[in-house]
Amino acid sequence: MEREFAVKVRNLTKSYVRSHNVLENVSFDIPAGKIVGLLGPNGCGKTTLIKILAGVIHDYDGTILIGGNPPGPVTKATTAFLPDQTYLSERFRTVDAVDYFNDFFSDFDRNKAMEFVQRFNLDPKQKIKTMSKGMQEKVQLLLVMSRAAQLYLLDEPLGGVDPAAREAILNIIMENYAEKSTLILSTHMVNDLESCFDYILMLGHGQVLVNTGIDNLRSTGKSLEQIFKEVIGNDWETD
Amino acid sequence: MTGKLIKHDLKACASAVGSIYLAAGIAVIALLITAFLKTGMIIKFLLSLALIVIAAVCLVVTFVQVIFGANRSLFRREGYLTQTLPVRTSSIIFSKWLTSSFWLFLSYGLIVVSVIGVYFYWAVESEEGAQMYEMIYGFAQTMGLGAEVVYQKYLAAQAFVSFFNMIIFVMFVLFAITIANIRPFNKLGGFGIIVYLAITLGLVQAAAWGLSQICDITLLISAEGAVSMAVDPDVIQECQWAGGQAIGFTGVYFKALVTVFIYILTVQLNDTKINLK
Repeated sequence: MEREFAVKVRNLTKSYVRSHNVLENVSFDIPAGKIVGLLGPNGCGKTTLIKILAGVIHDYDGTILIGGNPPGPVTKATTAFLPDQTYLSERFRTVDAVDYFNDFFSDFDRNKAMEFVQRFNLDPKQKIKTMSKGMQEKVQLLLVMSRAAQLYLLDEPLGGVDPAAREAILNIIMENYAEKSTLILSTHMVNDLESCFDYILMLGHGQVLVNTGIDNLRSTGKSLEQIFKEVIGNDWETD
Repeated sequence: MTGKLIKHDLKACASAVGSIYLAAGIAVIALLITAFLKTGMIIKFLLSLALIVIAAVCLVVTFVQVIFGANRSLFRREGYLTQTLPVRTSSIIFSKWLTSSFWLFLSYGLIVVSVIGVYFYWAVESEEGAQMYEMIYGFAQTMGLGAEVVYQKYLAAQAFVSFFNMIIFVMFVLFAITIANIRPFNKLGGFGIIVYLAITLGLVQAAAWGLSQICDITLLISAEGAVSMAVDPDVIQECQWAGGQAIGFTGVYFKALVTVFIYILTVQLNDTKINLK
């Protein structure tokens, strides 16, 4: 039986300046139903790749298929994207953001979202612009995790967060992503997240350096961090 | 989905300009109250001036909101939400076009109604008001305006052309915003929107003028009020000599075609060239 792939990438090349390709003729497949760690040093193209999959970067060469479709309205209906910055309108209150998602995404669970609002001690009628950065990130996280998406794209969801909050966010992600869906999570927190991943995709120097199941890596007897230091060398930074 | 986009885009602009419309509404109510009360002329004058100033501010704020609101929701931080919605790019651009045109037209209408309303407010207040209307109409007649029905249809035609120009202006704004956000044109930043808008408008206007020199399609309003289209210069001249009016329409048709092309191009550029930062 042919293995099912959530994402297929062929000959992907992306540059922001002519002299430098962030991603160079990259090809890989991501199997469906896996929690994928997207790792690599700063500037290796993790965020670029996630943005291309999410459909907010259109200017690239190559072929992308998500569930058999190129990035577009069909894939966006089943892909939940959490960028590494605030993207909600400042005029929104929390409840407005919930209603907005409820309007556009058929897989959005409004009741679940409002439960999260209570759980995070957020005021549903507070405006986004009056919230701290941490509160804004909570709102965005709850919106994404209230969707029963087929593909979740989380760009550095744990970046700049204290260790206690980090664990809480991770628990929310792991407890609430839709069963049988695929979750791609970019991070530098290799140590904290190694036990969560089923699959590793590691980028470096514009190329895919590692594209394999976590079990294959563990069979070497080394930790994830050790393996990537060997692969990346001095470019690797960990927290 | 397009309906939902339109709903949210209308709300987005309303939140930016709503307070100004509220202020205009308060000024109108205050002016109407002074019509019934024996308030001093200075208060009435100040309220009249305030209403016109508020309406002008509303137009400027709406104009700014149209440009920078569209830029923010398409290509800046809010673009991460807009561009990940499960809707076609053509729907997103159409919604922005429709709602921005609506708000711009509303603010334009507010300033026109405010000026006319203040004029008639003072016309009711003073005896010279009614005489002023007769003076203006008499002056227009000496300038060849003709019968009152011609005057009315001429104003209606000019209002249509103004409304039409507003709609195409908004589409050109969306096009300029798109150009200013794609390589290699994105080096000018926000200032680039103004530059590309000026270039686009200038080129289209020049082309429209050039076409009108080759083929001058003209809307004619005869002295009896009959409306028709003509291209023969002799027919146009004869109508005007007889007390009718003529309005050039070559530019209107040309701009309509260009606007459709610009819309398609804007959608295509958004579909293929966008890189959200």
